[in-house]
Amino acid sequence: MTTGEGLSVEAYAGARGLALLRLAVMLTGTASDAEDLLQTTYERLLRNWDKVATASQPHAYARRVMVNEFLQWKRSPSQRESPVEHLPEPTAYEESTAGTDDDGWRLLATLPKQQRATLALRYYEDLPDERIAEILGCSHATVRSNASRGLATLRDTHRTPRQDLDKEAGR
Amino acid sequence: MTHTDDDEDIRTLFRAHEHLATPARAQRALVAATARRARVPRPRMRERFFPGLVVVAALAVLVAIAVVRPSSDRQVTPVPATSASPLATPKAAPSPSTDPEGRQIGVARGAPAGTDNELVRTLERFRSMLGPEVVAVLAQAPATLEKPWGTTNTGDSGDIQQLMSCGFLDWAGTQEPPSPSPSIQPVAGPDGVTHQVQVLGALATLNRLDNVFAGDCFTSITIRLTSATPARMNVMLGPVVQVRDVPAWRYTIAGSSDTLLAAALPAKALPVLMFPEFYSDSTYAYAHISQVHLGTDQRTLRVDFVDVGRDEPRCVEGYTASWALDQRGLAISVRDVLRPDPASGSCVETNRSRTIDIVLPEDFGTRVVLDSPRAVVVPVIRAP
Repeated sequence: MTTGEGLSVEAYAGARGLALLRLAVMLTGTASDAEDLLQTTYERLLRNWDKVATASQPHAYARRVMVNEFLQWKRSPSQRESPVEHLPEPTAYEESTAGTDDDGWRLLATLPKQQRATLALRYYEDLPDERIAEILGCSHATVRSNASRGLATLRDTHRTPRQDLDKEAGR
Repeated sequence: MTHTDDDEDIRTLFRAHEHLATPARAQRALVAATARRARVPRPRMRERFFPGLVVVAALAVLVAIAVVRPSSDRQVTPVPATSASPLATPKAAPSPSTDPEGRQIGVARGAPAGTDNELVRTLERFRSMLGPEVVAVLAQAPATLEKPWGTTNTGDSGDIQQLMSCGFLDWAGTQEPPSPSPSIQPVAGPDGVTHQVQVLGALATLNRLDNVFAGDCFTSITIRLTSATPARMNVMLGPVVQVRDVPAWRYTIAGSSDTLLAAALPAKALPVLMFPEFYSDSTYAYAHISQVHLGTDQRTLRVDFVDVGRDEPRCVEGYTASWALDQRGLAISVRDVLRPDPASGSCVETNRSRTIDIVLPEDFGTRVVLDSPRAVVVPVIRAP
């Protein structure tokens, strides 16, 4: 698919697809969900590709679409997590992340979407708060508040030993 | 934004999981989205403009009959398969479709003789692109960033992958940017034919990147490139077809251990031909053809394809290949065949790599193969 400007979706994806997927990983927390989110984003972009290709900042547009899709994302029932009695064997992904801060990563996934998106845009994409506010459609104060609360949750929960939490909870 | 320990901790946390994003997943998402897009009709547009389109179409037909009729001999018309025909849609010989382990899955049927107008029209439109221009479609080959595992960017370049799109690529070498030697180099096109291609110099290649990806900038940081050495790289032609060993430049980046690898071909042509309007209904699910193997008899083609599936699970009985042939090109489409009564037999698994054979009525020669629904050139692997 091409446009008069010459920027095709394939050329764009070839150059920026991996960057978009990385952002999707930071938003969703898993490789498979990130792939789903990227696919959904591409579908949305393809519907208005002429607009994307002629935008002054195509990647900014794509990033905004992805974040909005993430915030509105409701996975189908078959994709949602469900409780199981026994955990399956570790996947290649889980094995490959051994040694990294998995507790912190899992905790990040429990944050409200707005907070997680704010943290990803601020600390992974290195965007200024003004730009984050535009993307999320909120005020600068809300961005700062979301970031502050997200960081506080991570700091307070992650740095406290789990046993202490259990003890405090009387388990 | 203040830089505290918390800030650094969460940055480290994010970057430690960057590796979950792999090029294969990114590519798969694009392929799936493109395929889904090609199958989804646009009901709103049709509903909105259908009455007007009917009137316009009727007027167009009347005008065409009155004015264009004398030149109708230039129009492509499906004709029965004969070796003398310039364009034919002969019936493909029924052949088995197999999975990667060679097990037969369902039945593959040939195209209805002389009736596949979509293929004929696609091939007709594709015809003008055949020849040396095919190589030019490689020109939009993007650049890639080669990031040594376990390293991070240093200096003022920040996230280079992100900043690349700003177009702030600046030559900062102590020497003049090198020119290619020789300036004309061979590239094996997706049609299996080697073409002689004009190669860009190191500076012209940077300008090409600027032109393609200018504009997405939040900062004024410039990526300074300090040297360039000749290299070769593989590029994607459309979402599936890979073209190997294209001339490129490998740049070193000031303040970073990353290197930038960019194809050194001029940007002057369409990267992919797509005619989704031919295939915009959801009646069929078209597979993606990845490559074609030409047999030693020069007439048998084994088509490698991936059934990307449907939005809703359906019982797929097998696959069917349709094709149209002219003197310079071969257009192929592969789609699934649904089992009318799922209880009457087993269903094959979708989203699998499979093959299907077609037999041409004449030698394949040096034709270009086109994945018709996506209008993508497909590599031809010739038997040794």
